[in-house]
Amino acid sequence: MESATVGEDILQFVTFNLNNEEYAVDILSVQEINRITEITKVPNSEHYVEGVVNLRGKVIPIINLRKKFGFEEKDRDDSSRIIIMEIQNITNGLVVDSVSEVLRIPASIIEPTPPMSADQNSQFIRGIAKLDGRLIILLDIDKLIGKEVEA
Amino acid sequence: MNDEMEEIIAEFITEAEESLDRIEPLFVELEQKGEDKDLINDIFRSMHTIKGAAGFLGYQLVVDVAHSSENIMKKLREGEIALSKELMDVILKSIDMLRVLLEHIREKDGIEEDVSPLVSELESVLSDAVNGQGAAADGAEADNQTEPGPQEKTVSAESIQVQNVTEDACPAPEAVISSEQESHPEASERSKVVPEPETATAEEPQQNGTAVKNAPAVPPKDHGQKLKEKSAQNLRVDVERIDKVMDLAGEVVLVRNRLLNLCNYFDQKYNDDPQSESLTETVSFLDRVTSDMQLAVMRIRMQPIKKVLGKFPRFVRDMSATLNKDVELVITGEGTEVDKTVIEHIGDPLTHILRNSIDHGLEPTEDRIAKGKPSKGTVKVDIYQKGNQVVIEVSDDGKGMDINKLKKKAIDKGLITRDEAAKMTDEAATDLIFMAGFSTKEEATELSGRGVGMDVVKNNISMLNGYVEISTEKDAGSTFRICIPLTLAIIQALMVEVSGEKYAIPLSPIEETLQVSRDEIDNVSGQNVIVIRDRVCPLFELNDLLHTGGNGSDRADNKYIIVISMGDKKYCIAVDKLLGQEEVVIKTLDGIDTSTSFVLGATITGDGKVVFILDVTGISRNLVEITKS
Repeated sequence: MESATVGEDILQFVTFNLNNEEYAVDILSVQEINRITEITKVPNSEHYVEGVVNLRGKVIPIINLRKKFGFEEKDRDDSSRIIIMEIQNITNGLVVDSVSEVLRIPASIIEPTPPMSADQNSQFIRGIAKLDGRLIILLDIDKLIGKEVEA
Repeated sequence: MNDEMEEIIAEFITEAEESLDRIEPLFVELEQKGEDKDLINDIFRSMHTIKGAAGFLGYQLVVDVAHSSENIMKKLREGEIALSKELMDVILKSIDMLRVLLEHIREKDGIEEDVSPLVSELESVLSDAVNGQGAAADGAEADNQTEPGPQEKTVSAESIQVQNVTEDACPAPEAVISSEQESHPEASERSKVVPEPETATAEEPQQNGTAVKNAPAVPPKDHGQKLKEKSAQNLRVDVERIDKVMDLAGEVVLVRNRLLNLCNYFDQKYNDDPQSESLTETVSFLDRVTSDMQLAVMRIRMQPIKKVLGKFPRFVRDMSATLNKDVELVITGEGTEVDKTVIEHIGDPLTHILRNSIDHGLEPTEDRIAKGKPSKGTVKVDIYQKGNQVVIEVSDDGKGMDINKLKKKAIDKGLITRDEAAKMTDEAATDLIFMAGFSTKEEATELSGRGVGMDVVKNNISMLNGYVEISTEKDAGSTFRICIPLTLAIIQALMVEVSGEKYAIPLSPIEETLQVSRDEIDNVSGQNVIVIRDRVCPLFELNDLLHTGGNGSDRADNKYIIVISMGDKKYCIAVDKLLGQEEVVIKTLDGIDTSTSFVLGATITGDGKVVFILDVTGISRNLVEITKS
């Protein structure tokens, strides 16, 4: 899912907030961003699977990123959103606290994931971008959801 | 390889496979009827097309095999050689090989089959045949055996004349062929003559072991002609696109439902406004159009079941030769249309049932004669639509099932106890053959190949939300009746509620629903049970199965119980509320592991909410484990 082509090192990301931190996902894998609609719980599913929603006639699974990352749960509010992404040909939704903007980030300022010992969430991180004093965590969506598909 | 090329290859594979599917039954027909110009031409053309396309794409192996078979067909067409069983066998073999080769191309696995033995076999059979024909006088006798001339009566009156003349002096086939060639353009006309003379000569083709007679309603001879005319009006469309249209149509239906509600609301509120009436009118028009559209879209997915049946004449031919039983296969209603998914999943169960009927149902020829039955056994496959179901009946005129024998076998295998057997109704006893582990023919024969038993039949069919019934009569035969809903996209479901969540249960396996009070529920070694008409059934709380969080034990005194019957298994599910029957559209769940969640799929209700459809088959499988442990 690399969006960068040779010779052009500006990457575009959709950024969102989760637990007061800023995350970003590759814009090419984002299909749309929706307000949270009614979510139906899936019986006997993994704890981080929030449920399924009806996306124009298609039933798609919704993953709660807070639960997936082991953060404390937060009630949904007006700014909560579902980011609909197509990952490995499967459409998934990610519940996030709020969606901020589309950022153009030069590949040069992306730093590899610092070794964060014992933090298993670091495997989902593709890199960290420093932009105007902000730290933005770039997620590796394939690993995040791919693992989910295997499970 | 670029996309365009991939597309061309995919198209080639599909077309080639369709051609093979189409010509395979023609071979058997050909064998039965003797040399039929149209059939030979049709097969020759198909082989030629495959060869041409494969050559263009550079699949040399396919070309080699197709070329050798084509050579034989060519000689047959030109009348240089006569049809024989050996020829037929080897050509059928080459069709099998072509399928294998196509599969390799599709899989891109790069495996190269060694086709040279087959090719040389094809060539040697051909040269044998040519030589045999050369020595005309001597060859005549042999030819007479394998090429039953009288069946040529299916062609026009004038060629029958010619045929009759040449029949006695067999080694002059050219005469027949030339006269037939002249009349070729009226092929479709001639085909109308088919049914009568065919039945008249029905006794004769026995020399060949199998006679496959197609339904009288469908004159088999004009296959080629018909398909040709049709292909001009047909459009090959990716299934994904159709499914997309289906989804969108479903969505329009949901929007329509919401609009209807809104319309009612505004109608009541602004009753005086003249525009209100025209709004109601417009919405009800939309309502009608939407329903029509949904139906039309559903029809796109429907295909004639003939697609599956095409392989059966060959299958029965091979099987009857192996078992040395004389079998006639009669197929009626092959034009009946069913959903694409049914086409995909009904093939295996039908093959198993057919195999069972021929192998176990029909008696050996000697026994049949001893019983005063016609020496040739008949297996009938009848397909028809009944209400919103498709019924497929497979019946044989064999010995029927011996209930006591079935029970004894099940007891011997430890599948049921002696007591259970004693209580068992005849109906339940015949259902025993569907139990896993009952089927004895475990040795994976050439015919079964997969080594699976009749239990697969039941599973596959319940997967299609259908069911199988057996009726049997001693010495008169058995009938397997498969009933499947017309379309799989929509099923009838019972809507229930537990812990505030709505679920849908497919209606077909539900036997009944009951309301019971708490004290009617017993507990046998940790397992809740309930006695329904003297039969003890395990009872499960849907809450516990789904881990929805609700506590099963401390709710209302009265419970709603749904009795589910899956073949020989019967169990009950307790729910909070029964909400009623609904037609639901099944949506698949991608990205969620449903193997342990007892969920089959989901549906979207009129208000746009997602509701899960429970997998009663899956639950039944797990229940057995729970109860055993």
